[in-house]
Amino acid sequence: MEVAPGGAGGGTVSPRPNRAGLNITLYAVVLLLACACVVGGVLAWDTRQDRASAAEEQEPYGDVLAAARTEAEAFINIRYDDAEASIDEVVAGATGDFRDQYAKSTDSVVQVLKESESVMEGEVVWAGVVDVDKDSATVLAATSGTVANKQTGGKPVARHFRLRLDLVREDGKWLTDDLQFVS
Amino acid sequence: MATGSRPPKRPVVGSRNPTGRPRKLAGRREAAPPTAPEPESEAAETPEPDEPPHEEELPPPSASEQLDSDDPTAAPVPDDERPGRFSSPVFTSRRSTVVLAGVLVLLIGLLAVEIWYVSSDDEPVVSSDRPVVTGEIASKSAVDAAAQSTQDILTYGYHDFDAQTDEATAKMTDTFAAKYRETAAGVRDEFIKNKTEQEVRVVGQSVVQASSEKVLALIFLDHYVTRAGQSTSVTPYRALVTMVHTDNGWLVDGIETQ
Repeated sequence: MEVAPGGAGGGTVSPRPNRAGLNITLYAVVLLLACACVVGGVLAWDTRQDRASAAEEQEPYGDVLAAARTEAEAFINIRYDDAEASIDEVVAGATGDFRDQYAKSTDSVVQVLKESESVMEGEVVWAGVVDVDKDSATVLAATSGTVANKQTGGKPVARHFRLRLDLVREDGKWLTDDLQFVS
Repeated sequence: MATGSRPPKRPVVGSRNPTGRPRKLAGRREAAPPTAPEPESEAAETPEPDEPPHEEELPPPSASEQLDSDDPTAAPVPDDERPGRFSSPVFTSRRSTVVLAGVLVLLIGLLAVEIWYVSSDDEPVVSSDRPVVTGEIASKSAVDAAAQSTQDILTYGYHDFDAQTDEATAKMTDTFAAKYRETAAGVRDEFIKNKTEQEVRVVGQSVVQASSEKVLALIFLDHYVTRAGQSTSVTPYRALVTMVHTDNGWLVDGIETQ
């Protein structure tokens, strides 16, 4: 005598209904999670793009400040007994009108330095970026140092400068095309 | 003809149930005779040979009909056992369960990675190679605040020295405010005695370092001082102003001048 599954005489219970229910639930959860993953993927992609954009935007600051510091320190470290080398250092980091004017005045500058036996030394204390984009930047530099010449009796006298440098990017290198004292 | 002994009603030729057997209803198991039970599946699914094939024309049994059935072998067929939407192995196989569980774990992992990536604080550390690690708008906002606050803090006169000192400390962190009060107290009497007025004007501002929490700003200042009976003197200054981001916005945490 056979007893139908689930019938009055049958003690066994078919697992199929439970499994179907479980699988349907899993399908639903997987579908929801897949949707969430798509949304999360879009957000992650946007975040990645934003970070890459920010990194690209922030990248020039270090190079600009390094170039400005080098140029400013070359500008305030000039010795009458090695004037040509001092001027060459300034010209190496310059471009445009600033470079042309500085190079043209080399002879007169050297003459003045030698006559006064001037020794100017110093360093950049602080430098900050006023503005920067891919191809140009403006930097402020605060320098501290000394100057000694015949007028000071050869004794170093403190000289603190406030400089403003305009830089441009040429062939991947930041060069100064203007340098002014902020008075 | 005697009453009360009416002849049994003869079945009508061509009726759906000429033999008087219980009707077989769609979705309902037929009660098998107790002496010769038939397999239930056959009773439920195999049409009787002498029955017409149009069972779907019969009215469906009511729920009470099914519940009131006193046949011990009659049981409703679960939906999942009928051929239908969810009877496919895709829904019922163990393999599907395993695959779905695997996919579920993978999706949870992927979602966790996405949430971590989006919510993580990915700001680089400030260094000489990368002195600015925050957005231009945020750093400029901090530098503007530094310039304005420095100008406000360092501009005051002997008329209302105490009130201006209190007002200035509102733009500072508690630590710097304590130092500022100490310094102000030290010069207060001399300042008032000489009827000194001092004003600071910003002539240049720039960002030295910047993160989302802290900004160093280089400010160029012209410092105008007037004392009673004396002409105004002007001194150029350079100030490194430290700004920190708080719940109250950017506050001055230090001013170093040269």
